[in-house]
Amino acid sequence: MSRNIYKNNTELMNLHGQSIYMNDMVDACLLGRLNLFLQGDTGSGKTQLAKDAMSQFGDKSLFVLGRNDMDTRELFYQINPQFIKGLKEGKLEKGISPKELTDKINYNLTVVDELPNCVSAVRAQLFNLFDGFIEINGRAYPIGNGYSVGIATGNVGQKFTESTNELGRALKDRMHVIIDTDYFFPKPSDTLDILSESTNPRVEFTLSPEDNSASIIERSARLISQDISLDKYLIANYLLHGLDYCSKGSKRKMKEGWPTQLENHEQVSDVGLVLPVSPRAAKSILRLSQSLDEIARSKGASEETIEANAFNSVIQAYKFVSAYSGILNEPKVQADHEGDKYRALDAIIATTRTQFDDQESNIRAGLEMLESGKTNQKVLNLFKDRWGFMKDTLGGLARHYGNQKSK
Amino acid sequence: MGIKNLNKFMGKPIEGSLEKVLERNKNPNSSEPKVPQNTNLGFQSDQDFWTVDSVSYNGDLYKVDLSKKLLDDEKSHTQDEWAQFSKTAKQNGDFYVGDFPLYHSLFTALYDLRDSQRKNEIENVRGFLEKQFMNYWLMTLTRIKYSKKGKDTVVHNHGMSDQYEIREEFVGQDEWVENATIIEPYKALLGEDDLPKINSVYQWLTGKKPYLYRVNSKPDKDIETVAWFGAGSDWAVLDCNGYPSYSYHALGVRAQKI
Repeated sequence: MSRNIYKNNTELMNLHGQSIYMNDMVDACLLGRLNLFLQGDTGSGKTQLAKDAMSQFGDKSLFVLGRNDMDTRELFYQINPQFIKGLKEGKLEKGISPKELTDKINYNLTVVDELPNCVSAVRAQLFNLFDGFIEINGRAYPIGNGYSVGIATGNVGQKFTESTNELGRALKDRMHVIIDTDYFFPKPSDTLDILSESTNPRVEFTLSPEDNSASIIERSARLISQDISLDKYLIANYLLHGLDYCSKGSKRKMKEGWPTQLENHEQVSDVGLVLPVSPRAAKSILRLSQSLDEIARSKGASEETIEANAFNSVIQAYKFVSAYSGILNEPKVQADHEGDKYRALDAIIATTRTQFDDQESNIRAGLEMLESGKTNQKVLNLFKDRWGFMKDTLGGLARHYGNQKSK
Repeated sequence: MGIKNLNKFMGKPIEGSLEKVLERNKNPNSSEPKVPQNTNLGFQSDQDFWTVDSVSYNGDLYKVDLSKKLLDDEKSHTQDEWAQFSKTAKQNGDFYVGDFPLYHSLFTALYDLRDSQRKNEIENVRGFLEKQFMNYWLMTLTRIKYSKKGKDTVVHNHGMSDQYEIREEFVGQDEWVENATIIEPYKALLGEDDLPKINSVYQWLTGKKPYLYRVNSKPDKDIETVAWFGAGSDWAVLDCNGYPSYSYHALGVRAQKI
């Protein structure tokens, strides 16, 4: 999908037998309408990556360079000069309605370079743009003809996910996928190509951007309306509920007591390493998983393989949605994984895989029980501790099996 | 947007699972994992199996147990049958059939330990493996899908929940590994692209030079073969042209990520 100046053949993952690279991840976010924040060192190529994405949207993308002296008035002017004119002449209240102005804004992709430079009021409006609306006088007006997504870049260091950091909280709240590009730096062969092509250190715009927005929007709409396989919902529920389980009952309810008040054996396992995901993150994970499947499909993965490997798809999406979402026990990541969040998540993923391998036959039995329409307490009793959530999940699924039968 | 594939889990039908689980549940102890707890680094020998603590497999380190006897009382099975066997075995913490990269990673780890302080025990393992190589065709859970056009597909952990695929141009002439010039098929098959190392590992194991068998030219229609290994009087065979309907013996392994 991408027309790339950015070069990077470092593999983020192998999914369904297909290599997924950084530009594929950007494409997946565009397909899934997932806001993407590219964290990384200055000059690492993240801005080029974002601008490559812009080149697919013709004139339907907006580029904003974050500055700390920019106010919302300047931002609105950049979005649509008529805003400022309207505001100055008081026409927003008199003649022209805000909706008339926002209807004329047809940006589908907003790219913000160096987002952390922006003051919080500007950031808030930018996040609104990512999500497809502009807020004027307390009212939200939609833009982007139903499709809008944002890519932002910035170098905010490793500790921005800490809860005391206002910017970090905002990023976690509004950006669905956060990737540290420093961990996926281009290979020496890539940098050789980059350096041998040009020694111009500036970010390059594609000279003749194509407008593929209609195709992207159509594919996105199709993807978003697709049914999702049961496997994926069950894995998402594990990440929501299974990872919440601990000897104290619930990590969520422990609040600040997690992880220090856990039992010793829990502190050295994934129980003490990671919190459960939020429902919103779970939605992002499912959406990203569907998008990554679509990317793998476009590279040649068969439907059979995609269906059989739903676990890998969801769990890789989990890795990239969660690494910088603030759910990891940072001191433990530092102590056990040399500060590498992706390595910490790989360890959690390995445990999760073992958990699912161990429970696979039980889950199948539970699903067959639902299909039979009869509840079997012996089967329900198979689900204990972190798998206790399956009892209620099966109860919820019973309705779907009933619907299927009635059809 | 709704839920699809209600009658499947991990790509496989759910039919028959309920009965199996309830049967297994009559004897609760049978569902307990039997993977031994072992914290020593390096290599250990148990009554029934050997353990290599640091096997580099698929980019991660694993502790791998190798059974001292062939799986299923030395019976032979087709790859599909072994996959079914392995799924159950894995869930119960028993020995199962590995994919080619797992076996190769284990052989390589043993090779790397050949001159260590445990060299006498390592030699025992090598002797065991040489015997199995010479006496049997040994199955892997790796399958090759040769495509009539485009890249071929190497499927690892065939039929398992962690099945994964690598697309690669796999068709080519049979060859001695020491004469190979294209590394990609070996990377796809074994997870290793150091051809001299591959050559050394199998020579050390069997005393024979390794030889790769495969489909030599693009087939008229897509075909699937199984990958197995063994040794003859002249060579150690890495065969990627086995019939899926043929039965082979299998080495039992058990891998645990560390």
